[in-house]
Amino acid sequence: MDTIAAISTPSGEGGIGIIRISGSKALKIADKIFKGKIKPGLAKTHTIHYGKIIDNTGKKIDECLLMIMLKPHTYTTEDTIEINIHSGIVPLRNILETVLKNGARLAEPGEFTRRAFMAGKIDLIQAEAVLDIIQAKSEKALTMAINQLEGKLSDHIKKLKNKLLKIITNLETDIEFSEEEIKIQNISPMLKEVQQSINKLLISSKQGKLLKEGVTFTLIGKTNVGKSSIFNSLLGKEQAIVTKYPGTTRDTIEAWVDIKGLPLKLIDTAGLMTTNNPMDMAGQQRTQKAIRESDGILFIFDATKAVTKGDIHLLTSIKDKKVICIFNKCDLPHQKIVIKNFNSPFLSVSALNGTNIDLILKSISKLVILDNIPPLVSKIRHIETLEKANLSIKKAISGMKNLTPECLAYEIKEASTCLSELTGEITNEIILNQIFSEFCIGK
Amino acid sequence: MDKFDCIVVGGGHAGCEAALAASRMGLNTLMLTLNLDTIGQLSCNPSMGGLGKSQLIFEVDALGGEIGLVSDIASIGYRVLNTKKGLAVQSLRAQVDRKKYRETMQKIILNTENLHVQQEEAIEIITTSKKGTEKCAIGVVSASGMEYFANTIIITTGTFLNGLIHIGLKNYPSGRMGELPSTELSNSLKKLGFQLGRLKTGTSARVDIRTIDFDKTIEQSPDKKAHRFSHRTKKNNPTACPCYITHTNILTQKIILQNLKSSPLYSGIIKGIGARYCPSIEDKCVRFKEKTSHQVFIEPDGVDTNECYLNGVSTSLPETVQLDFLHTIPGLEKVRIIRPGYAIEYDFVLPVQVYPSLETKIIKNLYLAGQILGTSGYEEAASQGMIAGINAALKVKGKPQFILPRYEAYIGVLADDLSTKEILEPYRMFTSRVEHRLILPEHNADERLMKYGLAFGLIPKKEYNKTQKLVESVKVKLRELKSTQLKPESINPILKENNSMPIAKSSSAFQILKRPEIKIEMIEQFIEKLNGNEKIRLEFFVKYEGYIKREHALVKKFNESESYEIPQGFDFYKVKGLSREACEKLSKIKPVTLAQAKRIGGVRSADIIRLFFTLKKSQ
Repeated sequence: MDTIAAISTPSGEGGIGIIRISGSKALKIADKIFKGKIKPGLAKTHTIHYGKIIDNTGKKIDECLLMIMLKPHTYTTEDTIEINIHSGIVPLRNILETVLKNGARLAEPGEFTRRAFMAGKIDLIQAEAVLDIIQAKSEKALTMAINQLEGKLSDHIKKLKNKLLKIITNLETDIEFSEEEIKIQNISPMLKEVQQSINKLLISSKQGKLLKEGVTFTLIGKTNVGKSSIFNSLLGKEQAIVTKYPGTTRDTIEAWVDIKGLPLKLIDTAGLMTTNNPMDMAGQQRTQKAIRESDGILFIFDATKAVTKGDIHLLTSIKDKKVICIFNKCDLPHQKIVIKNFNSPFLSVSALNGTNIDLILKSISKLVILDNIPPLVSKIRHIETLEKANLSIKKAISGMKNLTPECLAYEIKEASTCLSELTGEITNEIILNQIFSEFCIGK
Repeated sequence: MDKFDCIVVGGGHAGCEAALAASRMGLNTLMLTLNLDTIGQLSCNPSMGGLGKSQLIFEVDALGGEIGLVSDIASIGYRVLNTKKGLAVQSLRAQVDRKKYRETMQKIILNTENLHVQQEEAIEIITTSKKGTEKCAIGVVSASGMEYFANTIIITTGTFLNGLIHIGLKNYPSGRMGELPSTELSNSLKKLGFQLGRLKTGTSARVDIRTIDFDKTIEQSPDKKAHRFSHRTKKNNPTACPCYITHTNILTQKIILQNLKSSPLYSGIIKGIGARYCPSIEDKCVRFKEKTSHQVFIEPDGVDTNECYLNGVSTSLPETVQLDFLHTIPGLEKVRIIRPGYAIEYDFVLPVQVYPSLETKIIKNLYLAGQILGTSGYEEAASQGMIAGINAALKVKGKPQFILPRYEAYIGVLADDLSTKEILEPYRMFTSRVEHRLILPEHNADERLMKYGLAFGLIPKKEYNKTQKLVESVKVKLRELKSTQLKPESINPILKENNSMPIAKSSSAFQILKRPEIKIEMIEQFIEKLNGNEKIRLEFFVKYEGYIKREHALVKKFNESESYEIPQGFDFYKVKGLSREACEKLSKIKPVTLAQAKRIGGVRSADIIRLFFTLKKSQ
């Protein structure tokens, strides 16, 4: 197998950069590019060495700590070298390039984890969880990924599958041994139980997806109501250019904030206005696109000005989104503002002196976070599979009176096949074994 | 010395189908049997078909086999089982006259062109191997010292391989009550390198019908409607003999539990493994102590005999205990035993040693079929005989082997299961083994399989055309159902009568028939007259339309993974991360496709993914 290498820290985050090399040539490559007290090829396994990385001409690229881990007790079960450096992206890239020049191949996304999976170190759900940990954007998402890694999702699915197995056993006994006097259990309540469990997982999945992928809120409003000021206050640093002239923000600007573990993407947009200027028009189109693609809207008003019909019209057009109405400039004299027939939270804030800015983040998290359900499912694949299983269960429940046992069994087996895609399989043999251990069969 | 194209060893249900298929496909065939007079014998209960098994009979019949026709001729009453469970798992069962079945089969065997029968015990398989090539079977040696040579050999020895009968603590070598076993052949198979196992099966006592008080039993009458297994059966109004049902009770249980020490099963004498779906009455009493009442079916053995079979109380207890416990059962208080029940242990060849064609993996041109492969049941045996016979003939003609896929026939599932699964108990067919059972009902076996029978020359063109005509006419009637509009005023009274929602606007007959509570007979008056054969097919198409579509989509998906081949001689130990259990099983069973690998017990989906990546990489 090829020796692979990649930068294994996310770009732009954290002070440390790590390059990981895995495969049979990892040590040889380290020997060529590392200069320290000891040659990596002669070092003991699981040791760390200080030294410098040189390129092919012998020029020093950077100082580093070199970790040597020999097979088989490594993540991929192959010889693994990790180079830790304390500087930015440029030396990191230069080192990677040198590694590649010396015989490694750039790893495909997730290839280290795939090798770990192929080597039998982790199962499928665990492999996916590892990828999530690597990509986790926040604390909560990380906890969820770790839960998956520990097999909590697998446990849930296994319990569900055991329930389905019991249902199938009863149905199949009814079909295969109808000549015999066997009392089978009523499967209707069991089916409903399964449906409830799947639904719970699915509800938690929405949460899970949210935690993993984060939530997007777009700031909109007329020009010069202070969108960029609020945007900057929320970020705590000046990222958007703020002037007192209307229309300064022509493009959309994005930034990530972490609200107590929830990754929040904020999009600052160009102020809404009617315009003929082609540049402004492009900005307006981007604003519309941002509105369409975001989960929620921060609708910014100028507290010193009256709410117009145009505002109400716009509010109506986005009523299927989560909206928070924010009245900025409340430090200036203003009247109490009321908008009738809207359930959105209202906040009076001042970007200038910071009044109530923290409330904005609280309102957002209140709007999107469901507290009591532990999130377990986040992968699209898991959600789709659960939904497919749910559909079959639904068909079975609605067909309890009308469908023949063979068709009921078909639906339920399909549900169980779906779940099996997540973990192991229920084979025909397992069903028969179950029948024989539960019922007294045989003429 | 005579040289044959094919030698079939054994004249049971597998042997008969194998010999008939081979000889009818033009092979000069020799059947060797221990006893000419027991060819076609029903060793256990006198009935054919039933759940999961009728499907096999219909399929063998569609391929051009004999079991269906002979069952029809010998039938003394039919019942359709599972009518409320759905059209696909509905199964026909017939009580048959044991003597008539045997005699009818013997008549056919003895009058088939190219087929020679000889009463001889085969004791050794002769093989040859040129250097560097596989071992190849070329003939058999008989007990009388004769050598018979042939291009292909099919072994169908049933329970006779090293058979050992147990009644109480006494036991003696035998192949079936009153018949000699076949011991040396078992050694010959071992010498050739086959791994053998040991199984156990049992049968219950046959009693004198004149000593039964039927007033204390429940009569179970056959269906009034005429039925048939075979497409060749024209008119069928058998002499109807009812069966009777009675029950064991707490006294029966007490006697059996008290006498366990004289049971060979519970005193450790019997080592072979019995089937869980067909337990002895001893087993039932021990394993399910809380259940004190078990059904007993009294099945007549035939029209001109007083012998009858007690289904449900198979036993290997001593004769006196058998009599004692039978006397506790209502209706059987004074019953007289004609032949006692017994258990039989026998050798079988672990079936993973054959390909789905039933040719063995280690000896070329050697085929195995029936109980020798660890199955139980007449229908399972006949199905394998059919496959082995056809494949032996194809082999001689230099044509590719015939392997039915799992989604096309129960027979396909049977052959595939045998060649990939480890058998821990006698294998019988269940509809739940068949993942695509919804599209494999017994009524359409002819549509599915007659084309193969025709190609092999086992189904005459005339019969094939008849089926095609039927299929076409069903298609026409289906279109008619879709185009026939029913007005509310004409259909609503019928709907109301059957507790179905009335309609407001006109609706097609097709849509109305889709309702589960509506049967085709209820709307027959609005469409052109249908015969019984068309009715069931039409109703199936209408009611199962959605499922048929879903199944075909699944089959397509299945085909893709099925076509992912694993090269011969592939080293599974080289696949990184494969669990040890998976490695061992895969190396032993040698699946030829990824899908087959998937079906092996103990191989997990993570193993399959690892295998898939490795295969992909090596391509």
